Amino acid sequence: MRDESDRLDGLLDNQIDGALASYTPREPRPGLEQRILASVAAAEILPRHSTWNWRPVWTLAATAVLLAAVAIAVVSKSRQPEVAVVEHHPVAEAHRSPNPIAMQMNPAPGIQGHPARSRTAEAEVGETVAKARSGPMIPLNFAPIDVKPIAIVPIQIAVLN
Amino acid sequence: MPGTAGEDAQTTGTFAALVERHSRFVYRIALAVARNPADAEDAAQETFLQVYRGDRWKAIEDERGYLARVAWRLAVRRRKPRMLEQELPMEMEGELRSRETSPEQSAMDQQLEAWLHARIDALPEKLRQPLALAALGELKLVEIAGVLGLPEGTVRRRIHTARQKLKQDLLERKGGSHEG
Repeated sequence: MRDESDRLDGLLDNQIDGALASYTPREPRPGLEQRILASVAAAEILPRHSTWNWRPVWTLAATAVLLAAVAIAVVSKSRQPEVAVVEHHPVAEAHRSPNPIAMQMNPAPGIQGHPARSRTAEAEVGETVAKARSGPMIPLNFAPIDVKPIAIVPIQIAVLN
Repeated sequence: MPGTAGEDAQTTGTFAALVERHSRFVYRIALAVARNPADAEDAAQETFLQVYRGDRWKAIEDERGYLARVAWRLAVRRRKPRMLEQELPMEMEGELRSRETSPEQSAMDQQLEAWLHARIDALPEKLRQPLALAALGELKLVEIAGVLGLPEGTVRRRIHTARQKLKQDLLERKGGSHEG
């Protein structure tokens, strides 16, 4: 019985030893040494480049981008012409009152003006007109209109006797 | 500098000789642990790269022991989650057999070996690794203990335990029981 047990044990050991002998193949792929030496050589070259300090490079690049953006902004701003809206037209010049808008804003004595208008709004409008007159003039595309003064005829009321 | 090129050539030649002496051994150590030829080769390359850097290889007393420890550690890191089926391709298994047996017996042996390899892979790592390193046939028990960082008695006990588990699995497969 014991001999049978020992025999079986020996058989199992042989099978396990056979499996273990082939568990790890004996030979690697051909050329392993060359691949190892090549990888070591490549790894030794690469760190020399990776020790470069990239921070100054990024700083220079960022500075260049900023300068380019500023230059583009300056150039585009300098090309925009300053445009004025109003031109000194000869006909309008002849009939123009010193401050037509101010006259409309300030009606003659006895005539009621708009209760919502204020002197602040009048000043702003006056400033806007003054600014428009100060810049270069651009010809307007409409035909001149002869503005004739309106004759004011006093109303005569007949008195009946 | 005139001597630098000559020194570099000598250094390179000496390191190349080290690679030539131990590359196969390092690869097999890594393969026994990683169970994947690609990972094993990567671990072998990384082993020699680590040894080369800092000129450590010039000061090694026990080359085999040192390289085995480094390779084992790197292979353990690369070890992927284990599967019950074999990780080595079957064509590699077939190339290793050179027995003069009948085709039927050969097929049965192959099937049994494949099954046993799967059972070895399924062992807990603390049992499988000492067994696999011992199976290489290139390391003494004391060297295996040095690689694993364990006492020699612990390594011997774990190898015995692993073999007992495999025997039990074999008996269960055969449908019998082992009384000893």
